[in-house]
Amino acid sequence: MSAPPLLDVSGLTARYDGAPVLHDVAIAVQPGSITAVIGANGAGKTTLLRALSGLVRPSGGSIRLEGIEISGRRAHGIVRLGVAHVPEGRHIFARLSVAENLRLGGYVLRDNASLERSRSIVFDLFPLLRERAGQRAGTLSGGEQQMLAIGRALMSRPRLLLLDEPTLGIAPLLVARLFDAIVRLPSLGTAVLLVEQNVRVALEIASTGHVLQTGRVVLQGPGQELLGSDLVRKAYLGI
Amino acid sequence: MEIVAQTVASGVLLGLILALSAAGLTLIWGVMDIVNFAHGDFLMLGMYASFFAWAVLGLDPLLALPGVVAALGLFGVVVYLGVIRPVLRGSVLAQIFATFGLGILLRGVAQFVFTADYRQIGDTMATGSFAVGPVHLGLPQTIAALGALIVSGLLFALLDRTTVGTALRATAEDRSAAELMGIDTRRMFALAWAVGAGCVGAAAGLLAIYFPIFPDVGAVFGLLAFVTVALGGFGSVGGAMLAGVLIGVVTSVAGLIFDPAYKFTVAYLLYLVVLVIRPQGLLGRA
Repeated sequence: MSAPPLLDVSGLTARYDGAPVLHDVAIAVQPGSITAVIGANGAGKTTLLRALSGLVRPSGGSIRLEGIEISGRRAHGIVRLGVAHVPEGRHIFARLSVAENLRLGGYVLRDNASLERSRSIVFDLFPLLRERAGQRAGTLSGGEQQMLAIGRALMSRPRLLLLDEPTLGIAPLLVARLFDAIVRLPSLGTAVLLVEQNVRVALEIASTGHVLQTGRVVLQGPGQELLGSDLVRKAYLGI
Repeated sequence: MEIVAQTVASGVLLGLILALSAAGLTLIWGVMDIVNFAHGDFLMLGMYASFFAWAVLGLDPLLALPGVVAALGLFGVVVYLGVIRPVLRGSVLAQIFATFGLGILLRGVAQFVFTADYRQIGDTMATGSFAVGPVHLGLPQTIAALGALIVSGLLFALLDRTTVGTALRATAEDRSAAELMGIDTRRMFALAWAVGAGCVGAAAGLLAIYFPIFPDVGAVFGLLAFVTVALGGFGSVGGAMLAGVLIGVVTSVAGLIFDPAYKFTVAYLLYLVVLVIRPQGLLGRA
């Protein structure tokens, strides 16, 4: 570990409706890497991402982005620092067009040239979005909406992309296409923190994985190593 | 037949102003789920602003209009910061009472400061009338309606064609997702109050060209604005426009058929019928 981490989380605790959900969580994301967080439903994965993007105010601990403390800032300010969040359930703006969704994804960009650059990157990654630009986002299929949600988040050219269950409820054919796009992100300058119920695929593409159980990181290591570990094989792969 | 055409025409003219004022109300509701029960009293304030611009500064209400819009927009932001934001964390009931109480306060203060006298702006630029076939239209009413149409068009352009308008609509649809785009949603709330109150200010300034001004003038128009918003569909600006014109025509025709004293009763009746058949309003989402 020579390079300083892009994201450095330590001692993070968070509550949901007063009940503690995260306990003393430590996670690091290296620049240009894919890091996976796996765990059962209710383990705190979504709350972790929401705390990182500012949608949930952490009750303790530290979140550093390239050394700068961002814990406690509001979500709209954290986006400007280069962290984009694709929430679980996609949360696209169904009543707006695909083009308008993408425009808002680039809301923090200052000029048309950067917007145009971002659009060409997103359309290159998901050509379908170009064809559907004028369509109301709510009329897209689930998989297409997920592409739009990821594309929209990438419009701000984030250094870190938080991806919450991108394949949940998506047709298998589209799952492969989504993962093809996700593995290309580091080469575009975007590191990925991936929360995924599809444990095998997630750990295969991740350089580092973390296992979250009832709000605690109980195991971490290189993705391939975790795939071979007894804990992951028994609890998450069922073998 | 001529009298029907005449009645419908004057209904449309009033309806366009009603539509603009209702658009302001529905915009605030759409963006932040708060009903401004002081809406009619905002209208009253705007009309007094027009009156005093004329009485004190000698400004024609049409020339004073941009100033009245700006003043009401600013007042909207002040109300958001001073009254609404503190109760946002409170219960829905607290939010209702906050704007309801504000309305009573504004009316009381107006009664005290401006007295209960009826005021009327005299010798405006727009006077007289003209004929379109058999229909005679008052110039003040026509100019006010045209003004309302223009301001409504500007509102649509703002919401539909600009990035900040897109951000407003995004905030209305999904506040958290809007935050994740880097949109400061609190600023959008303030903007919704500025634009919403600005629309009421425009409606007030146009109405003041020919309508008498008194502390309770907002009562009837405020209530009609609520019916308009509900009829059009809560949160739908297009629905408010459609419903505003519809209510203008219905009340006008009802005044012709029945006693004029009952004309608003028919508007509320129409509202009840729509509520039973289509509770989400004409253009509302179920």
